[in-house]
Amino acid sequence: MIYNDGHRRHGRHVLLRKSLCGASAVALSASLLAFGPSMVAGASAATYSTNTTSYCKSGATPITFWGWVPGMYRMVDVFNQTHPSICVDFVTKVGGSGEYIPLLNALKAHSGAPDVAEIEFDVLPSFEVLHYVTNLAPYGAGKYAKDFVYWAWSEVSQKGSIWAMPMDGGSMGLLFNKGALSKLGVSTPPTSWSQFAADAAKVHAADPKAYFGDFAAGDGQWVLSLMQQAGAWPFVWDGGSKVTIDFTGKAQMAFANYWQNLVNSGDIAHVNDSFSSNSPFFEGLNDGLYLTWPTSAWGPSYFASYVTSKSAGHWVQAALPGSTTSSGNWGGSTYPVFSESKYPAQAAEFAEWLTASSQSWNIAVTSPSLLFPTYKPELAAPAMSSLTIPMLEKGTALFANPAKTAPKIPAITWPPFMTYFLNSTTAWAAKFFAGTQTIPQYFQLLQNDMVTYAKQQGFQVST
Amino acid sequence: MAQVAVGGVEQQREVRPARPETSGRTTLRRHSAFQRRRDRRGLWFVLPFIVVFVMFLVVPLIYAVYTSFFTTRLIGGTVFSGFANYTEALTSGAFWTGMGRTILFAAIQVPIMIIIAAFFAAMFDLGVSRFGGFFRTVFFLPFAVPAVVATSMWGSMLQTQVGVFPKIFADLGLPNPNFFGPGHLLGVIVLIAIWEWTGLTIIILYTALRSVPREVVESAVVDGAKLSRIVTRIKLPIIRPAIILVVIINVIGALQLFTEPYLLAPIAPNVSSNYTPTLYMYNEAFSAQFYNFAAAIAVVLALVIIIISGVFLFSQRRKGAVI
Repeated sequence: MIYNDGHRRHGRHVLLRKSLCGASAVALSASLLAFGPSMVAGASAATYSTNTTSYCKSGATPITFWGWVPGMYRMVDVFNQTHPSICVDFVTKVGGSGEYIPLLNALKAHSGAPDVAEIEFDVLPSFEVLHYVTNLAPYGAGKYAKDFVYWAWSEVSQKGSIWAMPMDGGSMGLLFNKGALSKLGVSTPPTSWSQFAADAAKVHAADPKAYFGDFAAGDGQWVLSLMQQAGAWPFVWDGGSKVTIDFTGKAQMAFANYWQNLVNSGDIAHVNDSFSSNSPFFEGLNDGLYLTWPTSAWGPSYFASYVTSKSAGHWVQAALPGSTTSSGNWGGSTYPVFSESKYPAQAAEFAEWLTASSQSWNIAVTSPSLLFPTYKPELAAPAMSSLTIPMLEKGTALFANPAKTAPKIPAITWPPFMTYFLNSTTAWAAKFFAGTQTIPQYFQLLQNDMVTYAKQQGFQVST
Repeated sequence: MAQVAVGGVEQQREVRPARPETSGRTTLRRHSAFQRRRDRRGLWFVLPFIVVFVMFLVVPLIYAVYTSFFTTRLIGGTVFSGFANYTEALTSGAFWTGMGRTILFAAIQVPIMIIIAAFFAAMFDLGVSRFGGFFRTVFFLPFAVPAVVATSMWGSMLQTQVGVFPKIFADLGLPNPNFFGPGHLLGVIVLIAIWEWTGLTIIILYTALRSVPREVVESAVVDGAKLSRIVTRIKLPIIRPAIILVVIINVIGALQLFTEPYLLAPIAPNVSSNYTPTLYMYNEAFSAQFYNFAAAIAVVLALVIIIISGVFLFSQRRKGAVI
């Protein structure tokens, strides 16, 4: 096992890839299809080359592309075959900081940076603030605005500038152990958070050893996805020197108190495990210690490798409680072109094709990539509502509910210092798990820390 | 002569100063000229080392010190800030909390490990154990395991819910020890470090013990000294320079503690960002993007290590140790 920040936050891709290590490209997609989704939307019998430049014509404009989505080379191969004047060389990186640290170093050194790279939504502003990314508006990216769910497009654009093309997202849902829960008297997923609390009490009373869920206070991105839904988003960044940080406002405190009450009553667990690869949480989820998991569209397939006969076939990916009015997003990536690029037009053409064409998306939704689209035409594709995986209850859909509520996700802005924030949550949450701080107190500590940090970095901070 | 022919012109020149000279003054001058030439030739041999040493040690060191006098912000760019980074490092509790923890770590880990290592080294040296060679190899093996692998291995064995050890505790009906809890975490790191480094220490001490002259031990035996006395009063004092070496290496290593807490952090949330000074430095640089502040921490840490090792060496030298 290898633990690092990158694996924690981007474990879903890393995990998928890890299970594929050593397999050849062909055997790999074949074996995954056997366990993976039954839908193979648009996948032809074509074989792909992991060396994407093998399809290039001589004299084609060279574009270097870094990323970590498993099976990404398939989309790149198709691009290179259909765009003979451009040659994209796809370089596989280790997800998250495994890519960001070398990328930041290369950009700082003005040498060795790729033309295009995968950058998560929350990290993109950290590149924007350093002026490392190119505005894609002059390269015609604006015409795709209407093709993406509103929140996704708004996170990559700022005052008429388009800093990246959005691709996959993580619309939230509620993974629900229907098999175990119907025996404890809760056979339908809660549709509101008050119902969630009531069900949690009912379940814990029926089986004191089981919990309806777990509040992973240290998993900053997960907490933020729920705060986004609750209208308690704590950040505003204007794209320049002004940030707002508010963990202690009315909505934020209401959110903190809701979860603190559930913790106080003992109806949900609060174990200091993150929701990332190798976390003991997944074993507990499979064993029936935890019976639901508010998670993103990619959550079930991420958890799938921990599922044994104990819970296989018992799961339903329900809608997130309250998501008929508002929902949240957890994860997803964008594809910017860097200011270092010698061929920004060709790089932009590739980024636009990758993220906003059915040709690319038809491959991206299949194993091993399994990306959840923010691209509306793909979200509306009938295959989206029928895709299923074996751990789910027979005939239930993996993406249908998150896809339905994806347009309900409110638009937000990320601060340009998310790496610091995520480390900060882990550090302060330890006090909550140790029992010396409540969730509202933990939010107060986060508030103080983030305000101090932002001021040190030269921002004008409002609270 | 044949030898000269083989050696060529250079060798002929070298033998020349050996000829008797008429004037002492000339000899001196000629000798120093020869010396200078020899020095220059030696330089060519050390040049590759010097180039690498300057490029990868001296220049980065100077650059780190230079960097530490500036402050780069996300908004506002880079400005000269004098000793501000140093003032912050020295006055913020974050640095000293970590420093205190690594000193505590060194104070526990180094003595325990050296006592264990000295015991086994003496056992092997006395030849009282059967299959000594086999056990020496076995004890040395953990050192061959990379620290990353060792930490991941111990991490998964001790992990609160799925680890082997908590499962054994549960099977025995004992409460979950929560090895990564605030009270136990440092102990776990001490355990991992001892596991990793004892083998190497045994080998160093064993090699030193082997070089103790036989006659010394024989005369002690003739004088009727007991085995335990021979070990504690004769052998260990003779290998004191080796023990001091081992202490210094391990104290410096302990103060730079990084790999173990860094790798345990995702499964042991009590590993704070400033758990050790090196971890603090890493997080300030790569998470908070305060590269200049991290450079200042590095300089302060280096000074602390130099002072601690210097004081220790000086105190030992006063006691007559030769190292």
